Amino acid sequence: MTAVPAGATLPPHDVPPLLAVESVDVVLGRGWRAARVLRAVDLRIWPGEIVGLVGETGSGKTTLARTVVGLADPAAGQIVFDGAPISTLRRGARRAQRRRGHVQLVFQDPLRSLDPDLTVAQIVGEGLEIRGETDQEEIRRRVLGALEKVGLDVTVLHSTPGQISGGQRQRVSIARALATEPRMLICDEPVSALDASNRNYILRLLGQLRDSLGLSIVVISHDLSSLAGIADRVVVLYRGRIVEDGPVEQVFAAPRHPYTALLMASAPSVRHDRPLSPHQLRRTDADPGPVTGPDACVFAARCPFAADACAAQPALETVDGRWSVACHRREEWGALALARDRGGPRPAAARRAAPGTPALWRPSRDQN
Amino acid sequence: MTTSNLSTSPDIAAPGTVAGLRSDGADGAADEVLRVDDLHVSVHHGAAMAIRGISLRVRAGEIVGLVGESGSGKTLTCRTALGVLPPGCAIERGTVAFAGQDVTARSRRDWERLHGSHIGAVFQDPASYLTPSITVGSQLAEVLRVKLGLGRRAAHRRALELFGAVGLHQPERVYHQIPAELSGGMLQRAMIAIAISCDPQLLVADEATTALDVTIQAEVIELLLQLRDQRGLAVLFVSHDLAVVTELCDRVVVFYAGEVVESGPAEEIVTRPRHPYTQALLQVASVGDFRRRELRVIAGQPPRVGADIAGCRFAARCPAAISACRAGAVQPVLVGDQHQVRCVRAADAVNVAELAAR
Amino acid sequence: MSRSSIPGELSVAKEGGAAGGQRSLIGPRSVLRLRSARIAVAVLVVIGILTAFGATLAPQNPLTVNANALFQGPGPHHLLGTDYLGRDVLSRLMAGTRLSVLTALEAVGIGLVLGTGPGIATVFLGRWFDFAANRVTDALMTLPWIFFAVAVTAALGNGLVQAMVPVGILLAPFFFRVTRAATLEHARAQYVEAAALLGATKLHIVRVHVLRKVLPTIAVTTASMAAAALLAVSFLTFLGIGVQPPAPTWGGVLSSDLGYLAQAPWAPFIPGALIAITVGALNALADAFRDRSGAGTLVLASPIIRTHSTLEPADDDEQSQYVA
Repeated sequence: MTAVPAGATLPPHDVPPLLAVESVDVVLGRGWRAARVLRAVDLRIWPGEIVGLVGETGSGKTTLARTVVGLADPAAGQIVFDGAPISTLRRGARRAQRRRGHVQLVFQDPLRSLDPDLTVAQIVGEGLEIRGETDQEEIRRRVLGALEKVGLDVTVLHSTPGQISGGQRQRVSIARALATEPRMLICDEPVSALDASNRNYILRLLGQLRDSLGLSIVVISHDLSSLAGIADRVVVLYRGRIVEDGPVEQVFAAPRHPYTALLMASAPSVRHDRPLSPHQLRRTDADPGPVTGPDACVFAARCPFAADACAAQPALETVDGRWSVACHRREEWGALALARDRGGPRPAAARRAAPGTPALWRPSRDQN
Repeated sequence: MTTSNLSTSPDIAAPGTVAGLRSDGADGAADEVLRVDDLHVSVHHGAAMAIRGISLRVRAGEIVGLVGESGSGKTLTCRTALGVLPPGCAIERGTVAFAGQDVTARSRRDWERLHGSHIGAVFQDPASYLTPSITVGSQLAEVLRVKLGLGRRAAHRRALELFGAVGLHQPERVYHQIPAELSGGMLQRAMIAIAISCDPQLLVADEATTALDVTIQAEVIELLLQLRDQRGLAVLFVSHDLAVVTELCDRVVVFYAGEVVESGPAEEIVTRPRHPYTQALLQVASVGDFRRRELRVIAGQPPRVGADIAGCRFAARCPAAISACRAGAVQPVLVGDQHQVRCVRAADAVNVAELAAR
Repeated sequence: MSRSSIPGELSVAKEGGAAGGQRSLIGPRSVLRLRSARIAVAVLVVIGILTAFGATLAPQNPLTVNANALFQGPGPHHLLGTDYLGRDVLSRLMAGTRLSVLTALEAVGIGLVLGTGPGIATVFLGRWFDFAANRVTDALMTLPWIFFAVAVTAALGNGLVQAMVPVGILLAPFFFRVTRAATLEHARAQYVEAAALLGATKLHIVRVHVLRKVLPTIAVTTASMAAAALLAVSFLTFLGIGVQPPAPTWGGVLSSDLGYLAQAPWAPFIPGALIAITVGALNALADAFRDRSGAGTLVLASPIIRTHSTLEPADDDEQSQYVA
């Protein structure tokens, strides 16, 4: 494993967490359409952390973000921010809490989340105006400050969202969140709609914001590779449950949940030095029948390593310091996976390792 | 994965056959499914020349990837190859040939004969290409009845076979579902089934996997490879994501600002990229090794569509630019086995990473 | 999808209203680019002038009876001929414009005030208010307006002003429904959610984000309802409700003309055409406005099937949409 670059120490966990999601269940829809989108989600975020929340469509990651900011209410459990519960607030109290602006959500699509009729100045300053700030000079100063932090300058102040580029729009969206001097940013797929260069720029920007402002940042993504550059921790969601939660270096080096490993194996890569191929992590018809049932592990139906024990949902258990996994077979599946056929068609040209690729490493437990 | 009973093309070149990129003779022409020569397309009713001098070849059984930023011209090129240019766009110069026949100036009727039976297409958002209120099975069966003249029962059977061939579990069940009941991955597979239903020689996939979850994307990529192996299907795959393109494609064509800046076998492009833009793309692309890495950015913005620039169109952003780069139009140069670069400094073996380190 | 035909249009970003990021206020200049709108506005300007100055601009006194010139056809002295009392038709119509148009505007005004306010408010005031408002609307829409108008004149006295009040009340449901639908669409927009997350009150949201986007819809509805109100006025005056002879009104002229069809078969076409042209101009203006701004058309704020957001060009100017 390569050494962690100098200066990238993990934030301390001996202080109380900034955000605590405590055993939260969320149900969306009513009556017969009701669906339990999140189950028993337990998540803590400390000050100064960048946490990557990863999951595919239907995993509940966006719902989790919306629940934290109050756009959805938990059916069970509670959300606690800075020691005070916020999920039980209503109306005036909730508005007051929002006006304080400690937690801000950056939406996925700036074309939809920015009012097309307002100028950038009005958009970024809206939070201040809502707070009751009347001094126009002060508002302008803060708006310019927020824009400067994201690398935009005065020239965009009087443009509407339709008049600027996609990358700039995303930055305006972030600037709006920064204007109220938040302590935590939740970014819902901030880079999904951008090409690679803009993507990296925004991710780098988020890292810089954490470094300079001490923000906690939650980055929601369906793609693991966009987290590799900036996240300290990665939390993997599958069908409403957290299946793995740990420091990003360690998880990426040796994932302990088969779904995390599948995500990593599926990611397209310019080099081809995967320790495991997706075939080794997917169920085939040859595997014993899918383990299903209302209480079964959420991943069991798709898991090639599911056994009888998996008919009961495993709890999220700490395996090592800050690393926790929800899997009954976490010690065994790794060897089983390696033994499976790598399978699948390969492009005609023989695959080669790029110069400088390290030797193949295995997802063994004793590396740490 | 069941092997389809449907016939495969009679004369498939073995996958991975190498042949000259710019063959001026007849070698390789017989199995060329698509050939684009010196294509120039204008947009906005002639106001701007969006693509200039694009040439590419797709051989039977070959997967060719077009990669580049938004606005680089790759989608417009693929639309030209399909004969569906948006309103206001016109081919100013150059030719497009399908299976040896010139189709540059063909009428809509002629194109309709090609669509489906010879060329299939899948796009990014399958839901918007399917009628939301009709079952996907009926939509596929309709194509079969119209294009192949099959009777209802035969079309139903064939549709089920096709759904199975693209990896949909329980084809009978999927047949009777409407698009809203299927996930994104399943919809895309259904689209692929429709696209290959009449056994075309070429499949055009424009950002076909961009909107899919990463696990599903991997499966669809494998499906395309399988279809190539089983049927000799040629694929023109357009994507902004270089990692996906190198996973899938035999040959890669790199677009920048309306031109092809580099093209060659995928291996070559990845291990010995010669154009500074390609090198930059490789640095920012998903590396996939997941270790904490530097997030690289390509500084600057691409030029406006159709901008008239003297000399190399990448010179303004290029760390290796010299005065000769702005002197005049840059011609492509052969630098390796079927590996071409449009760069004044092609012979210098420029390495952008080294330049940055200095 | 019947054949493998591929649509030519590439980008989905250009939808109207809340969905795609288009500006919602359309300037008068872009509406006037449509020829139908220019003609409509010209007609309405003429009508407007007549409303203000019709009586003074009329070539002759609309009330002057001339027994020697009954049922004359169009001629140099009487451009549109004379009626059964020898009065100049053109002057009568010009003078009658004011009463017809002003009372129609009165009805539209009442409908607008009673309908749009609640229409916007109902989206933000919760389910019970919405339920109640909708039921009231349903009830009002079942009432036949003619009988309602007659009943009101019986109670309040026979005057056109009084008669148009119930017309206005019965126009309110249309304003309510259309405004409510438009507001619903915009209230679900993500930027409204974003504002709510900043702690905005509902009033702030309406004022800053919703109102200016609903105005085009209100404008379109006003134009359409004005046409309906004008027809209502014409009908009421045709029946003789609310108007004291010999004051001229469009409907009144039409009514008396129909009584003397044998003597002057061409006569009813003139006031009929005038009514039709004015109503047509209002509808054309409403259509033009609707075409330009997309207001009043159904726009899906969210697609039926959810997929990842489409990749957008890094440089978002118009041109690159084609080339991406």
